[in-house]
Amino acid sequence: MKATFRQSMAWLHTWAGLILGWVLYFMFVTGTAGYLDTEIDRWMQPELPVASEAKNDDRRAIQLGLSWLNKQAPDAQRWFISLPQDRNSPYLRALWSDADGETGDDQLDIASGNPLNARDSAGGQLLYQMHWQLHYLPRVFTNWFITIVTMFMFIAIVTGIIIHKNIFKDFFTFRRGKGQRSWLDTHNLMSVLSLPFQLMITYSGLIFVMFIVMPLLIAAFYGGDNGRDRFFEDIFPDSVQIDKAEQPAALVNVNQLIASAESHWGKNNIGYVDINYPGNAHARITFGGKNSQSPLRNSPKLIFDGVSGDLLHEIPARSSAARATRDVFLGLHEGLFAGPFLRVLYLLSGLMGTLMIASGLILWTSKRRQRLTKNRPASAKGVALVERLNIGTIIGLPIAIAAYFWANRLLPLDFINRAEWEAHVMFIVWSVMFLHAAFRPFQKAWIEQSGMAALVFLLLPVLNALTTDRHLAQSLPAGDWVFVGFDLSMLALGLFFAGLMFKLTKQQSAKVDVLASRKPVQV
Amino acid sequence: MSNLLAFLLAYAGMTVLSLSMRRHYQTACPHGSGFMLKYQRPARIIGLLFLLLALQLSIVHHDAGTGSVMWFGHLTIAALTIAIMHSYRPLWLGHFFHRLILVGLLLIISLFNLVWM
Repeated sequence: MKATFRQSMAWLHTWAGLILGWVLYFMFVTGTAGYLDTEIDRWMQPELPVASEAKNDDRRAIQLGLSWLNKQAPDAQRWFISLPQDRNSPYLRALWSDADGETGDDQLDIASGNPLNARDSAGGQLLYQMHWQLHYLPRVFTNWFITIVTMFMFIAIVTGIIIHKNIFKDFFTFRRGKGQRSWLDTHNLMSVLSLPFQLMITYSGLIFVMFIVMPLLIAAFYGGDNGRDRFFEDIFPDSVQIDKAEQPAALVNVNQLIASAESHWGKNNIGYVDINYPGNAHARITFGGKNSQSPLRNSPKLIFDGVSGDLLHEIPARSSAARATRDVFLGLHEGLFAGPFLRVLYLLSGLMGTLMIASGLILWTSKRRQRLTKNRPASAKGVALVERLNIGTIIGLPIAIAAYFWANRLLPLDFINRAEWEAHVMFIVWSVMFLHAAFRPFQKAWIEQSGMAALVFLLLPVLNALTTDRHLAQSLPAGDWVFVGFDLSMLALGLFFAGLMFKLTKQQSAKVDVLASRKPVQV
Repeated sequence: MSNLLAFLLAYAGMTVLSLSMRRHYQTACPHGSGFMLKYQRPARIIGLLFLLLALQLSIVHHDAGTGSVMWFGHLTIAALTIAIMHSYRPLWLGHFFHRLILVGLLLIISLFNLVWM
């Protein structure tokens, strides 16, 4: 044990932060990108028209969706029509799934009802999902692993607050050009200033997984056998499953239900229509309200009998206080309610979290490298390993994500499993970056990877111009803000990495000068 | 526009709070009269008041939930901007024109909001 409370907390902070720091960095980078998931989706499918967020006619949109599903999958178990509303769902989408587990997902043209054809791409959704599902790993493992990682994050934040001696005195303090001191200042500044966001995002992250990691809590009140099912029925009454009936029955005229929904919520306020067992005697039709405009994640629901058209349940957006608390935390985490301005604030806070983790990881090695020169050569290997992992993660991951975008533009359109290969390219490039970091001298590896990152990000808008006609010269005058924003962000990232490269190069040559000017030691 | 105004209020509050600290005051106003340090407590109260005004404006313009979330975002980015300025351009923060521009912007945007809301 360490001598004082603060010292033992410092120890905990250091090691909890280090051991899972690289995974946390991955989660923060991909999660931050997730705040722009649908924008990335749209960039990765440049064939799609510019989504107009003008008011659409719900009635017409639902009819278009239904007639498409009727043509496409008349025997499906479930139909789902998602209406175009805002950045979260920019297009009319029709989804279905049948008893054999087959599914379909088409985006439809709101004018003609014909499917919008676009390249096969995993899009921003995959990046976003990676921040809790990782990739290539079995779901049960990742659920638990991510929970542990998030718990470590929470511990790191709380211990970080405890060991920070001058939270208020150093609130605005950033001493630059002072080596390790500057890294500590960066680490403190990023974490203290964005502390509300970091606490919220980590705590709510834990709430996402609470039913997985605390099953005994449910068992204590609902019993072990099928207690879990009864618990979910109580808490989520809208998700109760019904069984399919033997006899078929015609689906009720949806217009009549739309009218009922409009009388509850007003005109054009429907977010989605979910139809279970269309054409069956037990058909159920659920209408969901538009995306919530506040942190409370839920939208109200109306559940109708799909044959008679009777209103069976009316579920308000806010039910019990406990459920509402959970929904608010989840809503805060996802930030779906955020308009453009708040979205930028979310993005910046996410970036600050990313920088907080990166600077923490760098701090670990820079502290130990100093000590190494004095004594204890045995731990040199450990420090070297951490340094190499740092390079491969901190700079290597952004390069890999850029490669994901490159793959989206360069893989042939008829490539088999194209969407999967976009992700494969990302992870292949990332592995190469780790290899590069493993075999190059540290200083050179940092500089070369920064240069590489600058190159791949700066050239992305060029690649976009060569492979599509939605480049800056076209998107700017047309007001195609998703493409303008994406290209400019890539340029900004490229410039950032270029700046980093020049700074590191200058630092290194300064060091070499100092070494060269020293007199050789007489033995 | 009121988002911008809320951000500027947070920024103004953070400016005052940082200048009421001895170390930052001395680098930002090396030839200052020490006014902010002499009246440190009132300065801090005014700074906090600006932050609260930003909160109030955010909540009025959005709802309590969204407004308070935005407020935290405003505080974070405003404080970060001030910290970076204290490190790279401390004299700007202490400069008379900084105050003038800040007050001017606050007035213009407030008027704009009054007219258009």
